[in-house]
Amino acid sequence: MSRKKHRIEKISRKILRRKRSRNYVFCDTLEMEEFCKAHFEEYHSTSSFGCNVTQLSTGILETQTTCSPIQDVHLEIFKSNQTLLYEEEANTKSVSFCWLDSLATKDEEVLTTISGHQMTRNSIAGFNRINKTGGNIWDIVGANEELCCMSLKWNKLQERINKLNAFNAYARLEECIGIDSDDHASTQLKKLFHDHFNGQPSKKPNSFYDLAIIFLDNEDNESTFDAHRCESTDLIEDMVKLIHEDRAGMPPITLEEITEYLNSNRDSLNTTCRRIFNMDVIELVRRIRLEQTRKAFLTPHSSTGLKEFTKKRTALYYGFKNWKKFEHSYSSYYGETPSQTIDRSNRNIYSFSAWKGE
Amino acid sequence: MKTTFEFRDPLEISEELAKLGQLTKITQLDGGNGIYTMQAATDNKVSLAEISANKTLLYEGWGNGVTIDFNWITPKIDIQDTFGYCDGFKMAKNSLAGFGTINSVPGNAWGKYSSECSSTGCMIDKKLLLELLKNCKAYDGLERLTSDQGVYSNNNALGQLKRLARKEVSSGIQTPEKYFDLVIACLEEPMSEQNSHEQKNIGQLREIINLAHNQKSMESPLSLLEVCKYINTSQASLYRVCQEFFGMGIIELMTHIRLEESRRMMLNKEARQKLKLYSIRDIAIKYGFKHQGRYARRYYTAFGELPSQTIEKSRRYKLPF
Repeated sequence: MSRKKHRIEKISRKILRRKRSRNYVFCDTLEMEEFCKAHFEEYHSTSSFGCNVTQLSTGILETQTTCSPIQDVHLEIFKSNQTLLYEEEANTKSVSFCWLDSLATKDEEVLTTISGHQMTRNSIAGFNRINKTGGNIWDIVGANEELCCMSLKWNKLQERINKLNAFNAYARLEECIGIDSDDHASTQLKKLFHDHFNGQPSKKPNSFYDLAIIFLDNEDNESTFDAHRCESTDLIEDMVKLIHEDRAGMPPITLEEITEYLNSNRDSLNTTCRRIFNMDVIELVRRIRLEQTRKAFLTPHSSTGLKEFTKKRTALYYGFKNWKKFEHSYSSYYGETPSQTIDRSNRNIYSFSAWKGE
Repeated sequence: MKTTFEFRDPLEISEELAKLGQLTKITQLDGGNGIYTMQAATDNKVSLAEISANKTLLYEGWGNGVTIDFNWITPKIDIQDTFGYCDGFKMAKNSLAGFGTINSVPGNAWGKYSSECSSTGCMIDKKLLLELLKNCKAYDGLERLTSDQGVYSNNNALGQLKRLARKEVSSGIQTPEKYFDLVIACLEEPMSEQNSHEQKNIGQLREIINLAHNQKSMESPLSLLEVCKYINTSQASLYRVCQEFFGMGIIELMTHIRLEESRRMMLNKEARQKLKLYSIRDIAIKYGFKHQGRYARRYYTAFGELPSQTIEKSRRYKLPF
């Protein structure tokens, strides 16, 4: 009996050691997407996962991810030197809580928006569950803003909510997109997270669950700062999804089609878009298309020669009719020409699945 | 008359129940493909229906004012547990419930049954039953029937009733009068500790179900604050009730029902034309989904097919409006 126990302890220690934090650095969005897919497929096992990353600012990309999962809690710190738009299919198995690590700048200058919630230094967002009934999630991660992400298992969270009778927390998960508060629970949670990444690894997954629930359940948080889902959040969520859709062989979606599909008018759509992305809809579509073209140049699944040969057709497929103009804006955004991208594309073959999701 | 059916759409069960005089709206509460079977038998004064599903189903509107329903469940696994709720009454192995249908404005009764059991409804003529109860001076039973939702019966009568129904739902009803006698025997069950336990939240649950199916609140979905105001309850207690009875949040529940109702509309070509709902977008808006894109995605997650595919299917159906 005791030998068996000893063995279990040995195994669990081994798991703990295996799950120590890891750093990843990415220099293009395709690499990052592939990593996310492999990473989350392992984590959520049965639910399928897809994501799209688009660089919104100009320059050469470098991102840094540090992952340090413990049992039933996925913990991650993410930072990028460029502003990124991140779009993903919502999965129904987990709930995430995101916040920004101690910012030096003022609140008004924060760019990061999580699931429609404009972040401040006191915000926690990303936990809205109503999204998950078949929706997609979008985030903007501001350049050089350090994003802390904690992902909890939904079934376990639900179980603990019931056990703790924290039904306010449940209501929040359904109706609220983000909370700005510096109450005791959120301070504790952030400290626990911070310590975990700084030499004091946490071994108690339940503390993360309980602190998150206490934070959500706190009624005082509601009366002062509370953000509910609104029309424009939904509108942008749909628009982002729509722009990303591949319309097999069809030309890129037009503004008219977008407004018709979303049952909205051009002006209100542009106003909302400018407020959130600092550009109008057509510019946003162009940036996403540009990124998709770049990913097509980077894909390791086709030979560099073929990609070079078909590069103009590829650009055309994504709606860029004038190659000269395309090449020019491509180079100014990414700091390299399409040919340079293609040339370096097949040098590193990604095989993240071998990493077993760590 | 004997029938056994296998279905892939809650709508089809609704249709079959309509033939027995029950107007229901049925929502599947778990995602994924559902398979349901139903057996029914009917006679002048008594109808029987046994339904089994591989998903949790929510019924709204059970009850028609002419009959009183006596519902029970048959667990597929032999454990002492709650397998669902009939009008807020806990459905366990020895439950008999559905008395709410006695003063039924059609549509104020509801039921929710898990996939771990089959549920049986025995609908018997209201007028005749009340007469019989009076004739044999079963005042306790009468009192139960009018003031309670259900009863936990520990005598032999319920077992007999179940066996009889099980047999006759497939062979056809031969002795309708037996059902009346057995039901009266169940109703006369002496007050036990289990029975004196008061059922809570009955009124509130009815309000929730009613509100969720209300056409106006489907068209412009209520926010959580509005729901709380309407039902006159606090956010936390509303969620406690919803968790306990439906296993999900109120907004999620209401969204589920709106989706199912929009599907019902899509499958009903005639109703669509009458209400001048010509496109998927018209239907989506009618059920409170402002953006067709999100609607289609949610729809796909819930039913595993796109709204356009459902429209295509609607050619197969001929539904009464």
